[in-house]
Amino acid sequence: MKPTRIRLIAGQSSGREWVASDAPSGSRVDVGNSENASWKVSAPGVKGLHLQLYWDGTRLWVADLHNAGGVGMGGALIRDWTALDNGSRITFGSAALQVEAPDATDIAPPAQHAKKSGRPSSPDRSALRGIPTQVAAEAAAQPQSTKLTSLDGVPKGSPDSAPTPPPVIGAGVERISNPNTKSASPSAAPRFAPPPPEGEAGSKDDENSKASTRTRILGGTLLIAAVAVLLMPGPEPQNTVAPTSESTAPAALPAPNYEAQIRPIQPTVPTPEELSEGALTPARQAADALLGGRTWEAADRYAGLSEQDPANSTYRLLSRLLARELRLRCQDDPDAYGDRCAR
Amino acid sequence: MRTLTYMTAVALLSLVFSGCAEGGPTPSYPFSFNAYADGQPLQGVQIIAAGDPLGTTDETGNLMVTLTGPEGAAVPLTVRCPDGYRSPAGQRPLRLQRFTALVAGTEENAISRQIDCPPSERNAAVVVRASGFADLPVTIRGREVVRTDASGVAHFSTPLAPNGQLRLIIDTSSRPELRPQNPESTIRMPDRDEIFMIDQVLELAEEPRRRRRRSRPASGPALPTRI
Repeated sequence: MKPTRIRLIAGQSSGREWVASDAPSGSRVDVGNSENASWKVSAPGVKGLHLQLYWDGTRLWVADLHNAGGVGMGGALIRDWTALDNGSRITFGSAALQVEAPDATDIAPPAQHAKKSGRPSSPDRSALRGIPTQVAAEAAAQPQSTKLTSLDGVPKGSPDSAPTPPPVIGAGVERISNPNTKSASPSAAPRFAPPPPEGEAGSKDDENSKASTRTRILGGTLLIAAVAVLLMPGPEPQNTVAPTSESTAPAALPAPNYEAQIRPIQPTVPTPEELSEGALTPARQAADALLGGRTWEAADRYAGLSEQDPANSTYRLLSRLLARELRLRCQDDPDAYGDRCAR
Repeated sequence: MRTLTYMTAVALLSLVFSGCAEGGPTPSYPFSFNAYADGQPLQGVQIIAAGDPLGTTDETGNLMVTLTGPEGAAVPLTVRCPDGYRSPAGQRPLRLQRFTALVAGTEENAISRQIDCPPSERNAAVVVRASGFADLPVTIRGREVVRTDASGVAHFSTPLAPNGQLRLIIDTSSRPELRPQNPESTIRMPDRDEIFMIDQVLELAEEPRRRRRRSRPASGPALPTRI
C-alpha cells in the first residue's frame, strides 16, 4: 500500500510534505503561518491558523478554520469538511497543497470510520509522525516542553532567546485511540498438539506422546487458570461506591476537589463524525468554540446569542469579555490575525 | 483732609504694589482630575483637598479646580469614589507649583491627576460543559443557579469580589450512574471581569464486576463406600 501524503506545492515551509498514512488515525494538523500552527506555511494571504487536515485512518479531510481566509478546492471554496482524493489540490492564500493518495479507491466510507474511531481525544504529543517530515526531524531534536496556552491556544512563556523557535510539536494534532488497531496475535494463544488418531494408540511412543499431550493440556489449563485469577478484579477501592438497590439513594461520595482549570486548548474544528452527531444547541456550539480555543468564533457566537436574547446578561458579558480579549490580541500582534483585527 | 485721604490711598496703593513687588499676586494652581473605572470615565468622584471638598467629577470623569497657596506647598488629597467603586488609598498630596512646559506651545494650564476607582465587585462569566449530560443542576452553596441544557452546557454569571472564591458543584444526584458524583470546581476571582471555563468529564459508571466464588461445603458429600 502506497502512503497517502500531502505535499506543499506553493508557499514556504520547513516541512514539504506530511505522510498522513504514517500518522495515527484521528491525527489533525493545523496549517497556517502562525507559530501555533502544526505545519507552518508562509505565503501571502495565509492566515495564522488557516486550515486543518484530518486523517481518519483511511482518508484525508480538510476544513477551513472558521473561514480564516478561504480554502479553495476545484475552483470553489470549501464550506465544510471535505474529503481529499488523489490529486486533490487545496489553495489557501497563495499557498497550495496537493494530495497523493494512490490507494484512495480502497478507502472505507467515513461513516464506517466514525463509529470506529469515536470522538477525538486529547492531543497526543507522541504523534510525531503526524508532523510534516522535516519538522518532525527538527522536533525529534528538540526537547519537548509543556506549553501553557492562552485562551486561543497561543503558547505562553515560550523562550524568546532561541534564535529560531522550535516547531509547535503536536499542536492541533490529536489522536483517536482505536482499539481495533490492536489485533490480538494468534501466536500468543496457547497451542496444543492435536490428539493422535485412535488407530495408532498402543505403542510406547504413542503412550509417551499421550502423556506429553496430557501434560501440555494440564499445563495450559493451569496457565489459563492462573491468568484468569490474575485478571479477576480485586476489592473495590474505598472511594468508589457500589451501586445500591434502586430504591435507595446513592451514598454520598467524598467530594473530590476539582480545581477550576483553564484548560489547555487546542484549536480544532469538528470532525466529520462530530458534524454528523446531530444539531447541538447554539449555546453548546458557542461553548465548544470557547473551550476549543476558537475565540473569534466564540465571540461571534456569543454576540449572536446576546442579540437573540438581550435580557441574558451572561451572554452579554461573555460577548464583551471576548471582544476585550480580541482587542488586546490585535493590539499585541495585529498581523497575526489578518483582516479580523480591522473589523 | 483731602490730602490725608490722598496720602492714605497712595499708601494703600504703595502697600499693594509693594506687596506685588515682594511676592507678586497670590499664585493660583489649576488642577485637572480625571476619574476612571476600568478605563471608563467615572462620574461622581469626590475630590477633597486638605479636608475641604473641591467638587465631584462630571459625566466625563473630569473635575477642574484652582488652588491657591504658597509655592511648593503640599496639599493632602482625599478621593471618595461613588458606591460600587473602591476609593484609592494613599493619594499623593498635591504639590503647588507652577507648571512649565518643556516644549513651547504645548503648555497646558492644569496639572492633571488621574484617579482610578475600580469596581467593588467583578463579574465572573462561567461556562460549564458536562460531557453532554443534560439537565444537571449547577449549585453554589447548595442553591441551584443554572442547569445544563439539552447539549450539556450551562452558562451563568455572578458578581464576585476580587480575590473572592466560589465553589461550584455539578449536582449529579439525579444521575447516580455518573462518575464522578457531584464534582466540584473552585474559581478564584482576579481583579477584573473574567471568563471561567469548566469542562467536566462525566462518565457512566461501569457495571461492577463481582468475583465469583465457588462455595464449597466444609466437608464433602458423603460418598457411598464400597463394602
